[in-house]
Amino acid sequence: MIEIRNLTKTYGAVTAVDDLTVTIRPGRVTGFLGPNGAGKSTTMRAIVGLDRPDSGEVLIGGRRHADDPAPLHTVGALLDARAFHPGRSARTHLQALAATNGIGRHRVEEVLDVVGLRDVAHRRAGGFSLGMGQRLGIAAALLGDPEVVLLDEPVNGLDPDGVVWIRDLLRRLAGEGRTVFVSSHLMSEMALTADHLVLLGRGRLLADVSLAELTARADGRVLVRSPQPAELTRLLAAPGVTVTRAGPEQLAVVGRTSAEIARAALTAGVLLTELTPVHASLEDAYLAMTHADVEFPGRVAA
Amino acid sequence: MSTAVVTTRGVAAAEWIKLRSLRSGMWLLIGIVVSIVGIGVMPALGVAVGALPPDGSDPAGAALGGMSAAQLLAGAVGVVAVTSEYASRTIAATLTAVPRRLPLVGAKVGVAGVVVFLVALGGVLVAVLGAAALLASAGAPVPAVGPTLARLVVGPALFLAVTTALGVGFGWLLRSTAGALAGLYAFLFLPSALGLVVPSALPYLPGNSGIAVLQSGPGLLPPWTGLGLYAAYAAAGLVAGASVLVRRDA
Repeated sequence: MIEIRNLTKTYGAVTAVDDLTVTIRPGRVTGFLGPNGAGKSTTMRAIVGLDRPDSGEVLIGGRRHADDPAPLHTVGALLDARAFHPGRSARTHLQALAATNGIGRHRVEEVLDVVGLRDVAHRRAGGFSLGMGQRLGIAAALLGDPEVVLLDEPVNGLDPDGVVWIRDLLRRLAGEGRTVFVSSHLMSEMALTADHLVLLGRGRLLADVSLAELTARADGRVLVRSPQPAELTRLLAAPGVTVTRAGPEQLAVVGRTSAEIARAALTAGVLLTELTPVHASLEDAYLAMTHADVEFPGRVAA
Repeated sequence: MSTAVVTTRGVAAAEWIKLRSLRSGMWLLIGIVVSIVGIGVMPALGVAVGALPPDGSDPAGAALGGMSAAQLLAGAVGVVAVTSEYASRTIAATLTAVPRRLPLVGAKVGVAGVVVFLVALGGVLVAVLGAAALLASAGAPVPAVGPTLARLVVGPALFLAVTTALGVGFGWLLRSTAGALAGLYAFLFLPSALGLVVPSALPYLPGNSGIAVLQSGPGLLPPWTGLGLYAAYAAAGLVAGASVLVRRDA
Protein backbone atom coordinates (compact mmCIF):
# COMPACT_ATOMS: atom_id res chain seq x y z
CA MET A 1 0.00 0.00 0.00
CA ILE A 2 1.19 3.49 -0.85
CA GLU A 3 -0.17 6.41 1.18
CA ILE A 4 0.45 9.82 -0.34
CA ARG A 5 -0.53 12.60 2.02
CA ASN A 6 -0.71 16.27 1.05
CA LEU A 7 2.24 15.88 -1.27
CA THR A 8 3.46 19.14 -2.78
CA LYS A 9 6.56 19.45 -4.90
CA THR A 10 7.77 22.56 -6.66
CA TYR A 11 10.71 23.12 -8.99
CA GLY A 12 11.47 26.80 -8.80
CA ALA A 13 8.26 28.59 -9.76
CA VAL A 14 6.62 25.47 -11.18
CA THR A 15 4.33 23.43 -8.94
CA ALA A 16 4.67 19.89 -10.25
CA VAL A 17 2.49 18.23 -7.62
CA ASP A 18 -0.05 20.24 -5.69
CA ASP A 19 -1.37 18.93 -2.36
CA LEU A 20 -1.93 15.38 -3.61
CA THR A 21 -3.58 12.95 -1.21
CA VAL A 22 -4.34 9.45 -2.43
CA THR A 23 -3.91 5.85 -1.29
CA ILE A 24 -2.86 3.10 -3.68
CA ARG A 25 -4.15 -0.26 -2.50
CA PRO A 26 -2.73 -3.74 -2.92
CA GLY A 27 -4.19 -6.56 -4.97
CA ARG A 28 -5.09 -4.52 -8.01
CA VAL A 29 -3.50 -2.61 -10.84
CA THR A 30 -3.86 1.11 -10.30
CA GLY A 31 -3.35 3.21 -13.40
CA PHE A 32 -1.85 6.64 -12.91
CA LEU A 33 -3.15 8.79 -15.72
CA GLY A 34 -2.67 12.33 -16.79
CA PRO A 35 -1.39 14.40 -19.68
CA ASN A 36 2.35 14.83 -20.08
CA GLY A 37 3.55 17.27 -17.46
CA ALA A 38 0.71 16.47 -15.05
CA GLY A 39 3.17 15.48 -12.31
CA LYS A 40 3.05 11.69 -12.59
CA SER A 41 6.80 11.13 -12.75
CA THR A 42 7.42 13.62 -9.95
CA THR A 43 4.93 11.78 -7.77
CA MET A 44 6.62 8.46 -8.52
CA ARG A 45 10.06 9.90 -7.75
CA ALA A 46 8.71 11.28 -4.48
CA ILE A 47 7.29 7.87 -3.53
CA VAL A 48 10.76 6.30 -3.51
CA GLY A 49 12.37 9.40 -2.03
CA LEU A 50 14.35 10.50 -5.08
CA ASP A 51 12.78 13.95 -4.95
CA ARG A 52 12.13 15.58 -1.62
CA PRO A 53 8.62 16.96 -1.20
CA ASP A 54 8.17 20.63 -0.22
CA SER A 55 5.47 19.40 2.12
CA GLY A 56 3.51 16.26 2.79
CA GLU A 57 4.81 12.72 2.92
CA VAL A 58 4.63 9.33 1.32
CA LEU A 59 4.44 6.08 3.27
CA ILE A 60 4.95 2.66 1.74
CA GLY A 61 3.64 -0.15 3.87
CA GLY A 62 3.36 2.36 6.71
CA ARG A 63 6.86 3.82 6.62
CA ARG A 64 9.01 6.23 4.71
CA HIS A 65 11.15 4.58 2.06
CA ALA A 66 14.34 5.94 3.61
CA ASP A 67 13.52 4.15 6.89
CA ASP A 68 13.10 0.79 5.20
CA PRO A 69 15.81 -1.75 6.06
CA ALA A 70 14.98 -3.80 2.96
CA PRO A 71 14.04 -1.18 0.34
CA LEU A 72 14.03 -3.46 -2.70
CA HIS A 73 11.87 -6.02 -0.95
CA THR A 74 9.31 -3.30 -0.33
CA VAL A 75 9.41 -1.38 -3.62
CA GLY A 76 10.57 -2.22 -7.09
CA ALA A 77 10.55 0.74 -9.45
CA LEU A 78 11.05 1.33 -13.13
CA LEU A 79 11.31 5.08 -13.49
CA ASP A 80 13.56 5.43 -16.53
CA ALA A 81 13.86 2.83 -19.25
CA ARG A 82 17.43 3.68 -20.19
CA ALA A 83 18.83 3.89 -16.68
CA PHE A 84 21.68 1.43 -17.09
CA HIS A 85 25.33 1.91 -17.97
CA PRO A 86 25.74 1.17 -21.69
CA GLY A 87 29.05 -0.59 -21.10
CA ARG A 88 27.72 -3.06 -18.55
CA SER A 89 25.93 -6.28 -19.29
CA ALA A 90 22.36 -6.74 -18.14
CA ARG A 91 23.55 -9.40 -15.71
CA THR A 92 26.24 -7.20 -14.15
CA HIS A 93 23.80 -4.31 -13.86
CA LEU A 94 21.36 -6.51 -11.95
CA GLN A 95 24.06 -8.14 -9.84
CA ALA A 96 25.28 -4.76 -8.62
CA LEU A 97 21.77 -3.64 -7.74
CA ALA A 98 21.02 -6.96 -6.05
CA ALA A 99 24.20 -6.83 -3.97
CA THR A 100 23.18 -3.57 -2.28
CA ASN A 101 20.24 -5.31 -0.68
CA GLY A 102 21.97 -8.63 -0.08
CA ILE A 103 19.97 -10.35 -2.82
CA GLY A 104 21.69 -13.44 -4.22
CA ARG A 105 22.82 -14.16 -7.78
CA HIS A 106 20.23 -16.90 -8.08
CA ARG A 107 17.50 -14.26 -7.96
CA VAL A 108 19.26 -12.28 -10.72
CA GLU A 109 19.00 -15.32 -13.02
CA GLU A 110 15.34 -15.74 -12.04
CA VAL A 111 14.34 -12.20 -13.01
CA LEU A 112 16.37 -12.47 -16.23
CA ASP A 113 14.19 -15.47 -17.06
CA VAL A 114 10.99 -13.67 -16.09
CA VAL A 115 11.68 -10.81 -18.52
CA GLY A 116 13.15 -13.06 -21.21
CA LEU A 117 16.64 -11.53 -21.30
CA ARG A 118 18.61 -14.61 -20.21
CA ASP A 119 20.08 -15.19 -23.66
CA VAL A 120 21.40 -11.65 -24.02
CA ALA A 121 22.29 -11.10 -20.35
CA HIS A 122 26.03 -11.19 -21.06
CA ARG A 123 25.88 -8.53 -23.78
CA ARG A 124 26.63 -4.86 -23.26
CA ALA A 125 23.30 -3.23 -22.48
CA GLY A 126 24.22 -0.21 -24.63
CA GLY A 127 23.21 -2.26 -27.67
CA PHE A 128 19.74 -3.01 -26.31
CA SER A 129 16.60 -1.83 -28.09
CA LEU A 130 14.19 0.39 -26.17
CA GLY A 131 12.01 -2.65 -25.55
CA MET A 132 14.91 -4.69 -24.16
CA GLY A 133 15.84 -1.73 -21.98
CA GLN A 134 12.30 -1.69 -20.61
CA ARG A 135 12.56 -5.39 -19.85
CA LEU A 136 15.85 -4.86 -18.06
CA GLY A 137 14.25 -2.07 -16.03
CA ILE A 138 11.38 -4.38 -15.13
CA ALA A 139 13.82 -7.11 -14.14
CA ALA A 140 15.50 -4.61 -11.82
CA ALA A 141 12.12 -3.67 -10.36
CA LEU A 142 11.34 -7.33 -9.61
CA LEU A 143 14.73 -8.17 -8.03
CA GLY A 144 13.61 -7.85 -4.43
CA ASP A 145 10.30 -9.71 -4.92
CA PRO A 146 8.66 -6.41 -3.95
CA GLU A 147 5.32 -5.77 -2.26
CA VAL A 148 4.90 -2.59 -4.28
CA VAL A 149 5.71 -2.28 -7.98
CA LEU A 150 6.02 1.20 -9.51
CA LEU A 151 6.32 1.50 -13.27
CA ASP A 152 6.55 4.80 -15.10
CA GLU A 153 5.25 4.46 -18.69
CA PRO A 154 6.32 0.80 -18.99
CA VAL A 155 4.77 0.14 -22.40
CA ASN A 156 6.73 2.90 -24.13
CA GLY A 157 8.85 1.36 -26.84
CA LEU A 158 7.47 -2.15 -26.46
CA ASP A 159 6.31 -4.05 -29.53
CA PRO A 160 2.75 -5.50 -29.50
CA ASP A 161 4.02 -8.79 -28.00
CA GLY A 162 5.76 -6.83 -25.29
CA VAL A 163 2.64 -4.80 -24.53
CA VAL A 164 0.59 -7.96 -24.07
CA TRP A 165 3.37 -9.49 -22.00
CA ILE A 166 3.54 -6.54 -19.62
CA ARG A 167 -0.25 -6.43 -19.31
CA ASP A 168 -0.24 -10.08 -18.22
CA LEU A 169 2.70 -9.49 -15.88
CA LEU A 170 0.97 -6.56 -14.16
CA ARG A 171 -2.22 -8.54 -13.72
CA ARG A 172 -0.29 -11.48 -12.30
CA LEU A 173 1.62 -9.27 -9.85
CA ALA A 174 -1.62 -7.70 -8.65
CA GLY A 175 -3.18 -11.16 -8.44
CA GLU A 176 -0.39 -12.15 -6.05
CA GLY A 177 -1.58 -9.41 -3.74
CA ARG A 178 1.03 -6.79 -4.60
CA THR A 179 0.40 -3.11 -5.02
CA VAL A 180 0.87 -2.27 -8.69
CA PHE A 181 1.02 1.41 -9.65
CA VAL A 182 1.53 2.13 -13.34
CA SER A 183 1.63 5.51 -15.01
CA SER A 184 0.60 6.19 -18.56
CA HIS A 185 -0.70 9.02 -20.67
CA LEU A 186 -2.70 6.52 -22.72
CA MET A 187 -6.21 5.91 -21.45
CA SER A 188 -6.65 3.15 -24.03
CA GLU A 189 -3.78 1.17 -22.52
CA MET A 190 -4.98 1.64 -18.95
CA ALA A 191 -8.51 0.63 -19.94
CA LEU A 192 -7.11 -2.81 -20.76
CA THR A 193 -4.80 -3.17 -17.76
CA ALA A 194 -6.00 -1.24 -14.74
CA ASP A 195 -8.72 -2.02 -12.21
CA HIS A 196 -8.51 1.37 -10.64
CA LEU A 197 -7.50 4.80 -11.88
CA VAL A 198 -5.88 7.83 -10.33
CA LEU A 199 -6.20 10.84 -12.62
CA LEU A 200 -3.81 13.73 -12.27
CA GLY A 201 -4.02 17.11 -13.99
CA ARG A 202 -1.57 19.93 -13.43
CA GLY A 203 -0.36 18.30 -10.24
CA ARG A 204 -3.82 17.95 -8.73
CA LEU A 205 -5.96 14.91 -8.12
CA LEU A 206 -8.82 14.84 -10.62
CA ALA A 207 -10.25 11.48 -9.77
CA ASP A 208 -9.59 8.35 -7.74
CA VAL A 209 -12.07 5.90 -9.19
CA SER A 210 -12.52 2.34 -10.35
CA LEU A 211 -12.57 1.77 -14.07
CA ALA A 212 -16.27 0.94 -13.89
CA GLU A 213 -17.08 4.10 -11.94
CA LEU A 214 -15.24 6.27 -14.42
CA THR A 215 -17.17 4.79 -17.32
CA ALA A 216 -20.43 5.32 -15.46
CA ARG A 217 -19.49 8.82 -14.41
CA ALA A 218 -18.82 9.83 -17.96
CA ASP A 219 -21.98 11.52 -19.20
CA GLY A 220 -22.54 10.92 -22.87
CA ARG A 221 -21.90 13.68 -25.33
CA VAL A 222 -24.66 14.98 -27.49
CA LEU A 223 -23.82 16.33 -30.94
CA VAL A 224 -26.17 19.14 -31.91
CA ARG A 225 -26.43 20.87 -35.29
CA SER A 226 -28.16 24.21 -35.57
CA PRO A 227 -27.96 27.33 -37.76
CA GLN A 228 -27.91 29.35 -34.51
CA PRO A 229 -24.99 27.78 -32.60
CA ALA A 230 -24.13 30.93 -30.61
CA GLU A 231 -27.67 31.34 -29.36
CA LEU A 232 -27.90 27.66 -28.49
CA THR A 233 -24.63 27.84 -26.59
CA ARG A 234 -26.01 30.71 -24.47
CA LEU A 235 -29.20 28.79 -23.93
CA LEU A 236 -27.48 25.67 -22.62
CA ALA A 237 -24.92 27.43 -20.43
CA ALA A 238 -25.20 26.23 -16.85
CA PRO A 239 -22.91 24.91 -14.12
CA GLY A 240 -21.86 21.36 -14.98
CA VAL A 241 -22.57 21.79 -18.67
CA THR A 242 -19.77 22.02 -21.21
CA VAL A 243 -20.54 23.20 -24.72
CA THR A 244 -17.78 23.09 -27.32
CA ARG A 245 -17.92 24.04 -31.00
CA ALA A 246 -17.47 20.84 -33.06
CA GLY A 247 -18.03 22.42 -36.48
CA PRO A 248 -19.39 25.60 -38.12
CA GLU A 249 -22.94 24.73 -37.10
CA GLN A 250 -22.18 21.88 -34.76
CA LEU A 251 -21.86 21.77 -30.97
CA ALA A 252 -20.78 19.00 -28.60
CA VAL A 253 -22.70 19.16 -25.35
CA VAL A 254 -21.70 17.38 -22.17
CA GLY A 255 -23.96 17.46 -19.12
CA ARG A 256 -27.39 17.66 -20.84
CA THR A 257 -29.43 14.84 -22.31
CA SER A 258 -30.82 14.99 -25.85
CA ALA A 259 -34.32 15.48 -24.42
CA GLU A 260 -33.24 18.44 -22.30
CA ILE A 261 -31.52 20.06 -25.26
CA ALA A 262 -34.55 19.55 -27.55
CA ARG A 263 -36.90 20.99 -24.95
CA ALA A 264 -34.71 24.06 -24.34
CA ALA A 265 -34.41 24.68 -28.10
CA LEU A 266 -38.15 24.35 -28.68
CA THR A 267 -38.97 26.76 -25.86
CA ALA A 268 -36.56 29.38 -27.21
CA GLY A 269 -37.56 28.81 -30.82
CA VAL A 270 -34.08 27.68 -31.94
CA LEU A 271 -33.99 25.33 -34.92
CA LEU A 272 -32.15 22.02 -34.48
CA THR A 273 -31.12 20.17 -37.63
CA GLU A 274 -29.39 17.28 -35.88
CA LEU A 275 -29.44 15.81 -32.38
CA THR A 276 -27.16 12.77 -31.89
CA PRO A 277 -26.35 11.22 -28.51
CA VAL A 278 -22.82 9.77 -28.61
CA HIS A 279 -21.93 6.87 -26.34
CA ALA A 280 -18.99 7.90 -24.18
CA SER A 281 -15.85 5.84 -24.37
CA LEU A 282 -13.37 5.77 -21.56
CA GLU A 283 -11.12 7.94 -23.67
CA ASP A 284 -13.90 10.54 -23.85
CA ALA A 285 -14.38 10.40 -20.12
CA TYR A 286 -10.68 10.93 -19.58
CA LEU A 287 -10.49 13.82 -22.03
CA ALA A 288 -13.58 15.40 -20.55
CA MET A 289 -12.04 15.31 -17.08
CA THR A 290 -8.64 16.65 -18.07
CA HIS A 291 -10.36 19.22 -20.28
CA ALA A 292 -12.61 20.26 -17.40
CA ASP A 293 -9.52 20.66 -15.26
CA VAL A 294 -8.16 23.20 -17.68
CA GLU A 295 -11.40 25.20 -17.86
CA PHE A 296 -12.74 24.88 -14.33
CA PRO A 297 -9.86 23.90 -12.03
CA GLY A 298 -10.98 21.80 -9.11
CA ARG A 299 -14.61 21.43 -10.13
CA VAL A 300 -14.39 17.71 -10.87
CA ALA A 301 -11.92 16.90 -8.13
CA ALA A 302 -13.02 13.87 -6.16
CA MET B 1 14.25 -13.08 0.44
CA SER B 2 13.08 -11.91 3.85
CA THR B 3 16.69 -11.78 5.06
CA ALA B 4 17.73 -9.46 2.24
CA VAL B 5 18.53 -6.08 3.74
CA VAL B 6 20.86 -3.20 3.00
CA THR B 7 24.24 -3.73 4.64
CA THR B 8 27.48 -1.80 4.37
CA ARG B 9 29.10 -4.95 3.01
CA GLY B 10 26.42 -5.37 0.37
CA VAL B 11 26.69 -1.77 -0.79
CA ALA B 12 30.48 -2.10 -0.97
CA ALA B 13 30.13 -5.36 -2.93
CA ALA B 14 27.88 -3.56 -5.39
CA GLU B 15 30.44 -0.78 -5.81
CA TRP B 16 33.12 -3.35 -6.53
CA ILE B 17 30.94 -4.96 -9.21
CA LYS B 18 30.29 -1.53 -10.73
CA LEU B 19 33.92 -0.42 -10.68
CA ARG B 20 35.31 -3.55 -12.29
CA SER B 21 32.63 -3.41 -15.00
CA LEU B 22 33.30 0.27 -15.71
CA ARG B 23 35.58 0.50 -18.73
CA SER B 24 36.66 4.08 -18.06
CA GLY B 25 37.62 3.07 -14.52
CA MET B 26 39.67 0.13 -15.74
CA TRP B 27 41.52 2.26 -18.30
CA LEU B 28 42.30 4.83 -15.63
CA LEU B 29 43.72 2.12 -13.35
CA ILE B 30 45.86 0.79 -16.20
CA GLY B 31 46.94 4.37 -16.87
CA ILE B 32 48.03 4.75 -13.25
CA VAL B 33 50.28 1.69 -13.45
CA VAL B 34 51.70 2.71 -16.82
CA SER B 35 52.43 6.24 -15.56
CA ILE B 36 54.09 5.12 -12.34
CA VAL B 37 56.17 2.34 -13.85
CA GLY B 38 56.75 3.78 -17.29
CA ILE B 39 57.86 7.23 -16.18
CA GLY B 40 59.41 5.93 -12.95
CA VAL B 41 62.01 3.63 -14.49
CA MET B 42 63.09 6.10 -17.18
CA PRO B 43 65.91 7.81 -15.23
CA ALA B 44 67.41 4.45 -14.26
CA LEU B 45 66.95 3.20 -17.82
CA GLY B 46 68.77 6.32 -18.99
CA VAL B 47 71.70 5.46 -16.75
CA ALA B 48 71.60 1.80 -17.82
CA VAL B 49 71.85 2.62 -21.51
CA GLY B 50 74.50 5.25 -20.81
CA ALA B 51 72.42 8.23 -21.83
CA LEU B 52 72.63 9.69 -18.32
CA PRO B 53 75.67 9.92 -16.03
CA PRO B 54 75.53 7.58 -13.00
CA ASP B 55 75.82 10.52 -10.64
CA GLY B 56 74.12 8.73 -7.75
CA SER B 57 71.23 11.17 -7.62
CA ASP B 58 68.25 9.90 -5.67
CA PRO B 59 66.95 7.05 -7.88
CA ALA B 60 64.06 6.30 -5.57
CA GLY B 61 62.83 9.87 -5.73
CA ALA B 62 63.33 9.81 -9.47
CA ALA B 63 61.34 6.59 -9.59
CA LEU B 64 58.34 8.62 -8.44
CA GLY B 65 58.48 10.82 -11.54
CA GLY B 66 55.18 9.41 -12.75
CA MET B 67 53.23 10.52 -9.71
CA SER B 68 51.93 13.78 -11.22
CA ALA B 69 50.32 11.97 -14.11
CA ALA B 70 49.12 9.22 -11.77
CA GLN B 71 47.57 11.84 -9.47
CA LEU B 72 45.39 13.19 -12.28
CA LEU B 73 44.26 9.67 -13.15
CA ALA B 74 43.64 8.62 -9.54
CA GLY B 75 41.43 11.65 -9.01
CA ALA B 76 39.53 10.75 -12.17
CA VAL B 77 38.88 7.22 -10.83
CA GLY B 78 37.08 8.74 -7.86
CA VAL B 79 35.20 11.19 -10.07
CA VAL B 80 33.89 8.61 -12.56
CA ALA B 81 32.93 6.18 -9.81
CA VAL B 82 30.26 8.76 -8.94
CA THR B 83 29.57 10.67 -12.15
CA SER B 84 29.10 7.53 -14.27
CA GLU B 85 25.94 6.93 -12.21
CA TYR B 86 24.58 10.33 -13.12
CA ALA B 87 25.66 10.11 -16.77
CA SER B 88 23.99 6.71 -17.21
CA ARG B 89 21.06 7.72 -14.93
CA THR B 90 21.53 4.57 -12.84
CA ILE B 91 21.61 6.89 -9.85
CA ALA B 92 17.79 6.64 -9.55
CA ALA B 93 17.90 2.85 -9.27
CA THR B 94 20.89 3.00 -6.93
CA LEU B 95 19.23 5.47 -4.57
CA THR B 96 15.95 3.55 -4.66
CA ALA B 97 17.90 0.50 -3.50
CA VAL B 98 19.90 2.48 -0.92
CA PRO B 99 17.51 5.26 0.06
CA ARG B 100 19.55 6.29 3.09
CA ARG B 101 22.17 7.41 0.57
CA LEU B 102 25.07 7.93 3.00
CA PRO B 103 26.29 4.31 2.83
CA LEU B 104 26.97 4.96 -0.86
CA VAL B 105 29.49 7.67 -0.09
CA GLY B 106 31.45 5.36 2.18
CA ALA B 107 31.22 2.44 -0.24
CA LYS B 108 32.44 4.45 -3.22
CA VAL B 109 35.35 5.98 -1.30
CA GLY B 110 36.22 2.66 0.28
CA VAL B 111 36.16 0.58 -2.87
CA ALA B 112 37.73 3.11 -5.27
CA GLY B 113 40.27 4.17 -2.63
CA VAL B 114 41.38 0.64 -1.77
CA VAL B 115 41.61 -0.39 -5.42
CA VAL B 116 43.71 2.67 -6.30
CA PHE B 117 45.88 2.10 -3.20
CA LEU B 118 46.61 -1.51 -4.16
CA VAL B 119 47.21 -0.73 -7.83
CA ALA B 120 49.49 2.18 -6.91
CA LEU B 121 51.33 0.09 -4.31
CA GLY B 122 52.10 -2.52 -6.93
CA GLY B 123 53.10 0.12 -9.45
CA VAL B 124 55.42 1.98 -7.10
CA LEU B 125 57.08 -1.27 -5.94
CA VAL B 126 57.76 -2.26 -9.52
CA ALA B 127 59.05 1.23 -10.35
CA VAL B 128 61.41 1.51 -7.35
CA LEU B 129 62.69 -2.07 -7.51
CA GLY B 130 62.87 -1.94 -11.29
CA ALA B 131 64.91 1.24 -11.17
CA ALA B 132 67.28 -0.32 -8.63
CA ALA B 133 67.64 -3.46 -10.77
CA LEU B 134 68.39 -1.42 -13.88
CA LEU B 135 71.06 0.60 -12.05
CA ALA B 136 72.61 -2.54 -10.62
CA SER B 137 72.68 -4.26 -14.01
CA ALA B 138 74.53 -1.28 -15.44
CA GLY B 139 77.03 -1.43 -12.62
CA ALA B 140 75.93 1.99 -11.40
CA PRO B 141 75.75 2.68 -7.67
CA VAL B 142 72.39 1.82 -6.14
CA PRO B 143 71.72 4.19 -3.24
CA ALA B 144 70.43 2.48 -0.13
CA VAL B 145 66.78 3.13 0.38
CA GLY B 146 66.16 0.48 3.03
CA PRO B 147 64.80 2.46 5.98
CA THR B 148 62.72 4.79 3.84
CA LEU B 149 61.36 2.09 1.54
CA ALA B 150 58.07 1.86 3.43
CA ARG B 151 57.44 5.58 3.07
CA LEU B 152 58.62 5.56 -0.53
CA VAL B 153 56.14 2.86 -1.46
CA VAL B 154 53.23 3.19 0.98
CA GLY B 155 53.31 7.00 1.02
CA PRO B 156 52.75 7.47 -2.73
CA ALA B 157 50.07 4.77 -2.76
CA LEU B 158 48.24 6.53 0.08
CA PHE B 159 48.72 9.85 -1.69
CA LEU B 160 46.93 8.51 -4.76
CA ALA B 161 44.17 6.88 -2.71
CA VAL B 162 43.53 10.19 -0.94
CA THR B 163 43.35 11.90 -4.35
CA THR B 164 40.75 9.31 -5.37
CA ALA B 165 38.73 10.15 -2.24
CA LEU B 166 38.92 13.82 -3.17
CA GLY B 167 37.62 12.89 -6.64
CA VAL B 168 34.68 11.04 -5.09
CA GLY B 169 33.86 14.17 -3.09
CA PHE B 170 33.91 16.35 -6.21
CA GLY B 171 31.82 13.76 -8.06
CA TRP B 172 29.02 14.00 -5.49
CA LEU B 173 29.33 17.78 -5.42
CA LEU B 174 29.15 18.43 -9.16
CA ARG B 175 27.65 15.22 -10.68
CA SER B 176 28.97 15.80 -14.22
CA THR B 177 32.23 14.15 -15.22
CA ALA B 178 33.68 17.21 -16.91
CA GLY B 179 32.54 19.53 -14.14
CA ALA B 180 33.89 17.35 -11.35
CA LEU B 181 37.25 16.86 -13.08
CA ALA B 182 37.58 20.59 -13.69
CA GLY B 183 36.62 21.30 -10.08
CA LEU B 184 39.08 18.75 -8.72
CA TYR B 185 42.02 19.95 -10.81
CA ALA B 186 41.25 23.59 -10.08
CA PHE B 187 41.15 22.78 -6.37
CA LEU B 188 44.50 21.02 -6.58
CA PHE B 189 46.40 23.47 -8.74
CA LEU B 190 44.86 26.95 -8.67
CA PRO B 191 45.51 27.74 -4.99
CA SER B 192 49.20 26.99 -5.52
CA ALA B 193 49.39 30.24 -7.51
CA LEU B 194 48.48 31.96 -4.26
CA GLY B 195 51.75 30.64 -2.87
CA LEU B 196 53.57 33.08 -5.11
CA VAL B 197 51.94 35.93 -3.21
CA VAL B 198 52.00 34.40 0.26
CA PRO B 199 54.93 31.94 0.25
CA SER B 200 54.34 30.96 3.86
CA ALA B 201 50.96 29.49 2.91
CA LEU B 202 52.47 27.23 0.26
CA PRO B 203 52.97 24.05 2.34
CA TYR B 204 49.35 24.09 3.48
CA LEU B 205 47.69 24.44 0.08
CA PRO B 206 45.75 21.42 -1.23
CA GLY B 207 48.05 20.71 -4.15
CA ASN B 208 51.22 21.04 -2.10
CA SER B 209 50.25 19.37 1.16
CA GLY B 210 50.20 15.77 -0.08
CA ILE B 211 53.32 16.13 -2.19
CA ALA B 212 55.30 16.24 1.05
CA VAL B 213 55.05 12.45 1.22
CA LEU B 214 56.63 12.11 -2.23
CA GLN B 215 59.58 14.45 -1.89
CA SER B 216 61.15 16.65 0.72
CA GLY B 217 62.25 20.20 0.29
CA PRO B 218 61.64 23.79 1.21
CA GLY B 219 58.03 24.81 1.16
CA LEU B 220 56.81 21.36 2.15
CA LEU B 221 55.52 19.98 5.45
CA PRO B 222 57.01 16.87 7.07
CA PRO B 223 55.91 13.83 4.97
CA TRP B 224 53.17 12.34 7.14
CA THR B 225 51.93 15.74 8.35
CA GLY B 226 51.54 16.81 4.73
CA LEU B 227 49.70 13.65 3.80
CA GLY B 228 47.49 14.03 6.88
CA LEU B 229 46.54 17.56 5.83
CA TYR B 230 45.84 16.34 2.29
CA ALA B 231 43.57 13.65 3.77
CA ALA B 232 41.79 16.33 5.80
CA TYR B 233 41.06 18.24 2.59
CA ALA B 234 39.67 15.03 1.09
CA ALA B 235 37.53 14.43 4.17
CA ALA B 236 36.13 17.97 3.92
CA GLY B 237 35.34 17.38 0.23
CA LEU B 238 33.55 14.15 1.09
CA VAL B 239 31.50 15.80 3.83
CA ALA B 240 30.47 18.55 1.39
CA GLY B 241 29.65 15.98 -1.31
CA ALA B 242 27.68 13.82 1.12
CA SER B 243 25.61 16.75 2.33
CA VAL B 244 24.72 17.61 -1.27
CA LEU B 245 23.78 13.98 -1.92
CA VAL B 246 21.57 13.77 1.14
CA ARG B 247 19.86 17.14 0.68
CA ARG B 248 19.34 17.54 -3.04
CA ASP B 249 16.87 15.77 -5.30
CA ALA B 250 18.47 12.84 -7.06
